[in-house]
Amino acid sequence: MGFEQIEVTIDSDGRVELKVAGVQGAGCLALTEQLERHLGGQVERRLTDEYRDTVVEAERLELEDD
Amino acid sequence: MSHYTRVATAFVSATHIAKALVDVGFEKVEVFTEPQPLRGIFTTRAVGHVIARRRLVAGEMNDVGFLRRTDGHFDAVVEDMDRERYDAVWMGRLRQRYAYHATRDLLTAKGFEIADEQTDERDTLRLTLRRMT
Repeated sequence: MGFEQIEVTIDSDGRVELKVAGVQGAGCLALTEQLERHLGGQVERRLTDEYRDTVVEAERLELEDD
Repeated sequence: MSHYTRVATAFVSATHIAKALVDVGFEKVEVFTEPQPLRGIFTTRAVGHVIARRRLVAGEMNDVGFLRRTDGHFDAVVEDMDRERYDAVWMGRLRQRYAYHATRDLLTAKGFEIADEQTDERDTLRLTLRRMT
């Protein structure tokens, strides 16, 4: 059993930075997009290794399809 | 007759604006489905969906309002004589508290729990949330 973790940093001017760990690729993006909608604007995101792993895997699949 | 200025914000949630206004010190904050009149020392036609009522004991002469635009975002509605009181620093603090409540409420509704919460000497807020998988 693992866990998903989100670190939220909000500076004194209200700028938000999100660091998401343990949430796989598309799920990570969906979650940050939902947060952006709630916050009404752009949020700085940091992609995690899990996200990159999923992207690499997707590219590999596309190549195999060719 | 007083003159109010509308200042565009990125806020999209009346509930979270209200929570942020309480955090920055307002004691009475009201949320309406239809815009309601703001009160001030002069007669005004200004209205808001979220209204922080003035505290006369604190020297506040006028209410502060937030009016929803057609695109869903809110404008702050501030009396011109209060622009110094509700300046860019004040708006920054309000944005910080809004972001805190919006983030926390969304993530806890999705099953995350707060693991840590800290504010550093520069007033930057760090929130860590976790969800078991």
